[in-house]
Amino acid sequence: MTRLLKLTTASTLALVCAGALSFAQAREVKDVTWEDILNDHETTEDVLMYGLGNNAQRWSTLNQIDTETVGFLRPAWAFSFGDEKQRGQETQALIHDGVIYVTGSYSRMWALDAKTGERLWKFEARLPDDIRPCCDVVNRGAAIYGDKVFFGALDASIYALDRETGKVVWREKFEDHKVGYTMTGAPTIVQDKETGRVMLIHGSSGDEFGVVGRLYARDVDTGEEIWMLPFVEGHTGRLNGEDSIVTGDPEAPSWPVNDDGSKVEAWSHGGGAPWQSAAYDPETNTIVVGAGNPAPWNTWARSQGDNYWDYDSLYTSGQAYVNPSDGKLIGFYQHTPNDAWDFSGNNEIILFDYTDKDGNTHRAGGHADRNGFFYVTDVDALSDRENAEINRPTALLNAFPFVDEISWASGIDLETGRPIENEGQRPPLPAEGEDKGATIQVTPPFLGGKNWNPMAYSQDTGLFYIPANNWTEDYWTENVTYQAGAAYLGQGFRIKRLHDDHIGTLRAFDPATGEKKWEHNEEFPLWAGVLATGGNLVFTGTSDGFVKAFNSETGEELWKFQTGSGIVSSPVTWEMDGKQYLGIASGYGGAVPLWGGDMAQLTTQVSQGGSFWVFEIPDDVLASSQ
Amino acid sequence: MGGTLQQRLAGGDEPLIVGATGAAAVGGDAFDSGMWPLHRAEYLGDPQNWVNDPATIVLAPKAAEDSGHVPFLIDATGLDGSVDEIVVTIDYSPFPHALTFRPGRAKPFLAFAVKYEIAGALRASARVDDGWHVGAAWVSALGGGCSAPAVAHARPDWQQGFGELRARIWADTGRLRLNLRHPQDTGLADGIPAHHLTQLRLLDAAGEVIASLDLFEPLEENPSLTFILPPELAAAPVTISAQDNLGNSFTGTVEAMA
Repeated sequence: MTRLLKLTTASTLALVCAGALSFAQAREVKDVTWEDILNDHETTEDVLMYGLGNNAQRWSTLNQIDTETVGFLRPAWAFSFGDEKQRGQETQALIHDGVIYVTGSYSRMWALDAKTGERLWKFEARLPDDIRPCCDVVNRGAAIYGDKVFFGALDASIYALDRETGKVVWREKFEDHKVGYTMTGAPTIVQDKETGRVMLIHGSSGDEFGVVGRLYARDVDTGEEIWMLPFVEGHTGRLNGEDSIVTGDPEAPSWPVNDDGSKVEAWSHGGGAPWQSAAYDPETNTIVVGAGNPAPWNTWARSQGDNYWDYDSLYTSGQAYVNPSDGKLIGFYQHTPNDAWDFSGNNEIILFDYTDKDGNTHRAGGHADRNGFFYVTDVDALSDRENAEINRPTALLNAFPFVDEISWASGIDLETGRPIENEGQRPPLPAEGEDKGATIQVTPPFLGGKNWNPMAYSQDTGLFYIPANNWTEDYWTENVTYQAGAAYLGQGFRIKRLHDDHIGTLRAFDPATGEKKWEHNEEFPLWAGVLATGGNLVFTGTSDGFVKAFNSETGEELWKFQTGSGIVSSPVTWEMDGKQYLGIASGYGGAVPLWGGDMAQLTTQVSQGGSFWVFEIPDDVLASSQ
Repeated sequence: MGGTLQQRLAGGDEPLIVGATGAAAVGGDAFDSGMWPLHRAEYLGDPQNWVNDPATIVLAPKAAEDSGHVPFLIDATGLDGSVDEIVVTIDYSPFPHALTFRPGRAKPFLAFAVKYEIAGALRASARVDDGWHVGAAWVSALGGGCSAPAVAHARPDWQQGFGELRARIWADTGRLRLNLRHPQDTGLADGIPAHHLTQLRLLDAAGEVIASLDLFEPLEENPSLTFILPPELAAAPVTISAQDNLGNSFTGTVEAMA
């Protein structure tokens, strides 16, 4: 008489929730179109993309707040995230039609009235207790399209929420969080020129746990996967639910083999996760995204004996160019071949018009890598579909150091496009019977000359503003074996000071000459994003809690405001009813307090928090200045 | 006036438990709840045509042994006319609206359990053509059921087994009972976001809706629900489909075995 059923949670469906609690404040939303997103970098009344546009420049032409008026900047309102779930707030807000969509730690999101700061709705994911984010429970922001907002949760799932109510429209759990997959980056929207399909592009995190890095494209309406691209050479992708293209050479020659001819263990857990946000080049219809570090960190696990030079660990620690139609990897530039230092390649690639020293113009990518070098790459060469060779080290236009005393390489060879490595900077294996190898000193350390926190490019000055850090590390190898869900590094480290007076250094660079135009040093590490504006200003936040404004030509500090906790988020600016606003989240956390070694002396001084601040020039000041 | 199905409970025609509706069902509000007029306005649309009616039977224990699991049985089968929906509200809950049941082709009969925050009345308002027929029961409770963390959270691996669905149909009586593993978090427990079912439907073999429920925070953790189906529906496979507020869906099909 009995039939017993056992079904675990399976698909997610559009959730029709008739009769649910009604929200008194629910307001109608205007759909966001692909044209809106494509124009985001030129429109000033909204912020629709991570990076303030598909080119990720973090540049706004707004100039009401300028070098003269910035001194009058005052808070318009502040909103507390609450919940005692403070930790790092690494988000960048989106703004559309008078509503701010901001994400927070522990996979939360709020819709706020941009004028008043009034909360319109809140969404909070119910996370399992065994999530494994390596570097704090952060979220870097959302994507917006149509009547939905999209964001990733720490249990390796992605949510689409109704913009009016904050209710779940769909949820896709894309990987197993127990083995280390998670999601912290902001997804982005792309409309594929070929198929006309609007898709949500996102990656995952988890290189420190030996995941295989994957980039995904999803249907915005249903969440269904369109394609998946694995970043480890020789792994097979998916298209419409079926095996599709093998990434690179199926033989994966950039990964060594065991004596029996099988691939080394590291190949199965090779990392490369694209955990930051993709840019999009509309001209060539190409997704541009950074690839994470190889796993494990230990270089010898990915080398044949001493020979690391023939095994580049593709496609990790570089920048990837992907065809949105089928998820094929078209081109790749590797910043750190066979990366031995967790330099990763995830940092943003800013698309800009580059004029080299000889006056030639190129459509280029600007990238400040964890490894301490700034790269200018050739976007047309890297997105070229005709070239069958994916790895294109010569697609390099310029490279120069942006932090002090880089030890692992003396430079990047502009002819070959490869680093000129210094001897003795790959940490030796443990001696027979030892469990750790000899300690060496490496600069920059694994947290990088610059980490995830995005830089800005000013179209007025033509300079890049890099939130960099001067620091170093003690570094040694340890034995390593893969165990699901456990850290997969094979390295030990301790981060140390490089200079007595500062760690953080905000630096302005000319991409053509590599000349440092100015720098502003900070006692604490810099972990916040940067924004450049037509008001001749550069904005960022500091780990000891200040929002600051600098003269973009001279670096002079013109204004600061203490927000009560450290700032590790990215500022945005927009215009509403004739007025320019600045918005930024405050709340200290991220990788530095967790992994920063000697930085603990600094980071333990910072109070926890979690709030969103909006600044304006008071009306009477504006009136008197006109 | 009694419900036609009451004889199927333990004790048959002389049930071991009897309707607690009592005095509250005849004029006024014997429970003297300040919330009832407000809930009537908010959840029933402030109808003028409502009556306390002992024919809407609400069975409940006099006292809650466990504030996280307070069982109720609603039997509106004794009402004249077809019952379009039954709105269940709890007078002194931080989340007054427990569920709305649209019996459709099932009997207007539902058993379930809720969390109780403090002692008070639960009301079942059944809508038929001529208006709302309200039954109620008062339960004494130590309370705290809505603000305590779900029991599941004592286990770090609570997600294992999450969404498991078990069900059985007794063809002779038309009884369908189902159980779904779900923490039913209200959002009031410190640091635990709201995570609860929002909708559950019974579908026939053709995919047509038999009955549907809107569900809210008060429904107990790992809820069990009991329905009564007419014989022809109980003899065929029934699909159970549910959703929660975080985008998870749960589906399964159950069939009485010959």
